[in-house]
Amino acid sequence: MQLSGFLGAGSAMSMTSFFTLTFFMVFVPLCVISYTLVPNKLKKYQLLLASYIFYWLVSGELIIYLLLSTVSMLCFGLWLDRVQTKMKSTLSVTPKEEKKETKKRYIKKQRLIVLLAVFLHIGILLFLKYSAFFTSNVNILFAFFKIPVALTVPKYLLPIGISFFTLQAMSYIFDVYHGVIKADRNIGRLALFLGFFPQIVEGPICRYSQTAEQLWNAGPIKYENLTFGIQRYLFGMLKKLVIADRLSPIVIEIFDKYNEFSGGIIALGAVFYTIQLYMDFSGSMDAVIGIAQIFGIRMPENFERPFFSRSISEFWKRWHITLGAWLKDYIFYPIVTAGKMKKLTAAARKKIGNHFGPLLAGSIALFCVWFCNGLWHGSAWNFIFFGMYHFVLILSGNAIAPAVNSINHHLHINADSFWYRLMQMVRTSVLVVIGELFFRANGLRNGFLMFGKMVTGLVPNLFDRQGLINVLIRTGRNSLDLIIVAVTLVAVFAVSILNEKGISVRDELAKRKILIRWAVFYLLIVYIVIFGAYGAGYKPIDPLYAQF
Amino acid sequence: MSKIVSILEDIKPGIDYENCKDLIDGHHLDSLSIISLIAELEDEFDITIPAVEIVPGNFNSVEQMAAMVERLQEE
Amino acid sequence: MTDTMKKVLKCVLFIAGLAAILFVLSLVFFPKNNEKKDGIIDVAANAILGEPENTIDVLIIGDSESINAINPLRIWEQHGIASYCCGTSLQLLSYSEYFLHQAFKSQSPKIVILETNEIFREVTLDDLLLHQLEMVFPVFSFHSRWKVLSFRDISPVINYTHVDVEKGYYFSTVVSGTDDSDYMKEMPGEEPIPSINMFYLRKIRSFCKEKGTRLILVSTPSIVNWDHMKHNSIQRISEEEGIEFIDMNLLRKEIPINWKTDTRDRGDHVNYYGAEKVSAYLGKYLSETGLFKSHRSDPAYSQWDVHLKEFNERTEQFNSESGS
Repeated sequence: MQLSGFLGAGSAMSMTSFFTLTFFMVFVPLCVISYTLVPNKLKKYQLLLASYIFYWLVSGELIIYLLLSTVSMLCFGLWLDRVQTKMKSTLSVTPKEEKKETKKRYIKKQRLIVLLAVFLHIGILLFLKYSAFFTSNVNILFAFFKIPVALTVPKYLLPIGISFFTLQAMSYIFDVYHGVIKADRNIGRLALFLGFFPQIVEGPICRYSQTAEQLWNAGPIKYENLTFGIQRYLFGMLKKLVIADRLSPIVIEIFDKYNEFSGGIIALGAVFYTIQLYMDFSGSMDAVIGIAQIFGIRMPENFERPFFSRSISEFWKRWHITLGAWLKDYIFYPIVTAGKMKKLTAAARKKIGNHFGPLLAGSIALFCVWFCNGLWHGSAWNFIFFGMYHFVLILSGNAIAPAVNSINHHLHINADSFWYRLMQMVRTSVLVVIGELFFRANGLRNGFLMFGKMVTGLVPNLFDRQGLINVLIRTGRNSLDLIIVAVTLVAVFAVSILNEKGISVRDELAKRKILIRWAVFYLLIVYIVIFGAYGAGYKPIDPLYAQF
Repeated sequence: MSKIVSILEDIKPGIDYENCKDLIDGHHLDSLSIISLIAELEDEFDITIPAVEIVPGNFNSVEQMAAMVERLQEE
Repeated sequence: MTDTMKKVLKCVLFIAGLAAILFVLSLVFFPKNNEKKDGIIDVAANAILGEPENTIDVLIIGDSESINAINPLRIWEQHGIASYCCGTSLQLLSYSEYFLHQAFKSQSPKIVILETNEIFREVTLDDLLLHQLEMVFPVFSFHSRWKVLSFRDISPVINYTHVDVEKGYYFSTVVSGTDDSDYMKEMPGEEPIPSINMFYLRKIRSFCKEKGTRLILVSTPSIVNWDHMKHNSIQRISEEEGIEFIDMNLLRKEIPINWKTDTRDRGDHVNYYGAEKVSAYLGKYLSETGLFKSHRSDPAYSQWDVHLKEFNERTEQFNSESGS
């Protein structure tokens, strides 16, 4: 199956990377110019049109799934609204003794509606994204039991961003159900909320209450937004072009041919991949948020200096924040506060105390969250393993917390001291890197083999200089490339530390004299032009999260 | 309010609950601590805390928690 | 001056300043020599810049097909015609255009041969935009030379010293044969050519016209890369645009490629033995155009005989070692 190419369908798929020339030299400028020329009242329609043109260019006819999701939001929202309104009016004339029963009936009806919506949305996602995984595993099972049946493994084209906008559409329906927002009758507003082009490819996953109003009130471009937005975009470009794209061929070489490398190099590969992933994804988010800012739209952050985390729990509040928040609000808490779960918690607290009691219901909810998180990332066993790995880490972290606190207390260790916190950050980072090894590995089996090789080979050969030289030669790189990565990382790190302390670099810069500001911007641009890993000798790298 | 503080100290000691204003946003309380907290609050104040109430705006400080409890008690 | 005007002026000045910086950077980053240590990526192709001025008669551009199939030293040996292979692996038409411009700065070949395989390699909009940027500010093509920059780069003096013995030809005696197949059997229909590719093809043609150079489209033998549908496409363009087209895949008698011995990768590229046959035919064709006189006694071309001798010694040594 292929996109038709009709009227340019899918002709600009490279635009899913926000740093391609087509995107930032053609599409965005055209968008900004037409946005400025269009009268204020029509600006929102221009954004909607631009977003749909963007989607058509990157995904062609698959835009039908985006449209379906939008219509579904409208219909389910209004349906729920009708039932809720009926519920209110009925309840106002119901006698007191029957109120509880009546309310229960209406809530049940709403639940069924929501269930239908979930079934539809998740159903489509499962069908498109996971049928291949499902059927190939069924085939493996058949082969194991010597059943002579083999299902054909289907191969469907995935609409760009479907994993993201499915979650976003469902969050709208859930929010209407819970009464957090009022159902929207305006399909245009819903369409723009769901399809706004900067966020459609790889998030952030926004809530209706965060962006819908802003987008529909889109106004004239403010100079400060324009400049700040571009600066943010450039910072993302620095991260992706200079660091992520430079490391990419090295990571590919190590993960594809890990058998030819020592444990020390495999460990290095995992570290490089974690850096690459972080720079790529957070850099793309900088691009998304920067471009949205040009139009005066404030998008939620997806990263908050994750490697300053003191625990894995905290890490997932700082890495891919909107995904974690979605899973927390729509899976974790609903499960944990469900009637049966609360009873379980109450009973458990009596038996095993106040710390471990709630942990029982908590771990069930946590398991669901992490199973979904793993599976969401990809239809393969290593992603599920990745989810389970973090599940175990978080659960055990919580389970041993009272013991750790007690030890610290007895040994008079100050858990807030600089060194203790540093230890926690290093430990968390190491655990994250190990998780990413499995995430990136070419299948779960290879993941385990790589991990085994890494662990057994690390001690005898921690600094495998020859192996590193080997990898560099094979990928056409040399030590200067590593130096550039290190130098740029230091710069990015410095900005992170400032941000962590609450200082905004852009604001500080804006206060300085024009010559200093321009010098900094020129330096940034020239740095990207010279050290960016593009052009002859480098292949274009797709943003890692866009295949979802 | 002091009751809430003692509940919190029981669940996760070592934090200055009386003055901290970003218990959630500052990553001091994690989701599993919240479950314990909710269970205790429901028990202590005879209320039901639905999932929609579990937002930073209700749990970032002890004052916010107390306000939420009062509101839920009235319903 | 109103506030808006001030802001617009600031933007314009900023961009002007940026352009000035990029211009200066381009002067520094542009390679002043074509040795490998100067950070040149396609050393053999760029070695044409080291050839004495106005000595090259025929320029060949294309992808790896061209440099595997055409041996300029053989054509020199048999007809005294000086040709050069500026083909590079996975070359795009936009890059070919670049090579043309570069080569014509110091050479004036009477014929340009374009190997047709690359006409089907899509030049994306990103490729086109990057190419245009590179034309305006060469720093975009040579930015990775940051690793080899030296003080010499501050001076604008350019001195090309590297020459390639094989004149861009990729010498390989590896034999990895395949079964002969009916790969050129007649088929209706055409292989589509992306529109940006047509744009560059036309640009190359006007450039050649402007320079008074004859453009010839040539398809060198390849089972893997060529078929009748591609032939039909190029045949139509040849007729519509008035460009000469030689399809060697259809000249089984004149260029009798034996696919069991004459390919180094199962029919993707021909090897040295295949190149001998291709070059023999091509040399004859070129001499029959009547455009060229043999330069074999011309002292300006003395290094060609030196290189030919060197190359023949290398092949003799290989033949005696492998016992053939």
